[in-house]
Amino acid sequence: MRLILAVLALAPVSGFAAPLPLGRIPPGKVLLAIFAHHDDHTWEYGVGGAVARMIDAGYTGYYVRVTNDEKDGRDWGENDRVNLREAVEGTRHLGMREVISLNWRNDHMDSTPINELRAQLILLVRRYRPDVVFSWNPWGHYDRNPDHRKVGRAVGEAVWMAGYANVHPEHLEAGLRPHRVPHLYYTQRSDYGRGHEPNLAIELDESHVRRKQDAYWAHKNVRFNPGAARAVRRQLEARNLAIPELEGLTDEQAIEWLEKWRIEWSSAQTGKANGVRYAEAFHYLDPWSCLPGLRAYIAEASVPR
Amino acid sequence: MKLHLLVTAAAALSAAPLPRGKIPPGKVVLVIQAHHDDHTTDYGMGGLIARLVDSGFEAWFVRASNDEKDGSHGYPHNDMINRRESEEATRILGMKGVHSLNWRNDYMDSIPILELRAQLILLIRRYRPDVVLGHDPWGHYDRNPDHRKVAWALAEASWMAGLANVHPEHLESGLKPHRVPCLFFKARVDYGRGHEPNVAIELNQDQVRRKMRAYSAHRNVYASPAMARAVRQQLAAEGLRIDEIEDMTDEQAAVAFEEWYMEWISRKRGRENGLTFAEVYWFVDEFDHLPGLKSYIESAARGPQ
Repeated sequence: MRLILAVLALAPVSGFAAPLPLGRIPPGKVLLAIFAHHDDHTWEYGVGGAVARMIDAGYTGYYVRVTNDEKDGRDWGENDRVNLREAVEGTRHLGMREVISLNWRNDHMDSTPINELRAQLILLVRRYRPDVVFSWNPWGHYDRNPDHRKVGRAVGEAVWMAGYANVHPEHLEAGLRPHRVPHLYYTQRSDYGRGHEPNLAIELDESHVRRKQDAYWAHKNVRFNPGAARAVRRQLEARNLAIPELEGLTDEQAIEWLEKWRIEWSSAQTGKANGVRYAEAFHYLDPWSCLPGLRAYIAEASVPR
Repeated sequence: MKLHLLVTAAAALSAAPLPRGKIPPGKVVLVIQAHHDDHTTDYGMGGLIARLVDSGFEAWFVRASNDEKDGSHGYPHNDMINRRESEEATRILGMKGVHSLNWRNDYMDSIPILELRAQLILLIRRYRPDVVLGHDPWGHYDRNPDHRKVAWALAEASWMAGLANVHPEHLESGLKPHRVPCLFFKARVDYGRGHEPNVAIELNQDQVRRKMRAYSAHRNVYASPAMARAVRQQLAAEGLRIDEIEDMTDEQAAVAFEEWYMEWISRKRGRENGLTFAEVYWFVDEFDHLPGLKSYIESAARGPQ
């Protein structure tokens, strides 16, 4: 019995982990956010806030959508077009410049050859030469969305291989040069997946969170669902509860309020866990992460200039 | 820099020392890896190989890929040069020879695992190793696809080689089944999750020295002046300097980094485990596939009356 109590006492500890170190925005000019779907930039686990903050710091941002998003919405062909358009609008709220779509078939990425996807990403890394890449954590395994897993792994390989002249030398023939990505920010769904261990929090201000809400809400093809607001009202009624903010709103207005509330809430949750008002958490790899001994050497041997 | 140090400090939270591993009894060790230099990079096994050889083992190295991407001499020349340097380096460790399977470097994700496994089963039956060293198959998401593939094939081959029903054509040609009793697995220190070392292997000064020399035998890829330039640039960006490399050429500086690095990782693993120098492994012994049997033997077995 005592053992069981000890185990129970240990279990909740993970919920109150020590605050993460607060990250600075690395010096740089270009960021690439590489995700499977039109709306992955801004969910409760998304990267929209950090992207907005980097854009404020002078970065140019590009969004890579790897799938065609045919499954999000009512009609496959229509979904591809509408979701792409909304991705352009959503990322524009974050201040990003352009969306590049690779249009692999939505939900079927497990069967795409990883070498081909990797080659595409290596090409984009060499073309845009990003200082920062955002993506899924390749180590956050068992996310149950197959597209997320596949993209995470291909990114994990592409960001270092792009730095080798021997990898896809045909790109060099076409005028591109090798480029190794120095700063990597990996995220992971908060609802499932294992293996993701955030090591850094990026603080956000109110404007970043507001833009993140707008970016999220731009995806109306999947988010605009007044039926969900009606379901929430029914649940509240069944429990004899009310949310004052929802009173007097139409179902259309209520769903917007609920969805935007969720983005604000998740940013505040991560903020609270890390001693600031709003934040996003990442597994961050810095330019030395590929040479851990070198970093220790520098820490030991270097002196200020 | 402060941020970098914080992140490093969080990662280094010291775990309890590992039990000290013994050298298993035996005569033959096979080291099965993807690349020419995997025997002795930071996550390498050079020290343990040297120690096994010192205790009388005959050692062979299996290189699964063709290493065409490492170096700047074009694919076929890289293959040849890296193979030659691999022979030189393994000779420094006291090994007998190198077998190359020459699968295409960086593309092992797309090769049929059954074919690679069959090759490894054949080599295991041919050499009948008492000990096999390889990458940890459970150290998932090493972002080098070749490491993952070879590790998986090795995990399967090491036990399947012991079953007469597996590849009976080998038996027709005079080979006999052979199950590998002892396995030492290793994962990169810079990325990858899931690797849980369970033994520390103590090394002496001479073994560490041979490990360093074996490492620097790979001149085609190490001691790259470009790496030294990148370090100098980054130091300048962070407002730091390292006195001892100020007057060195880029090539000398790169050699200094590499040598410091080999010694550093061996010393670090030693310090973590109450030793001067060490390497850490996930060790699987001959009874580990029958866990109940081991405790039965411990409780029931008696020595000769």
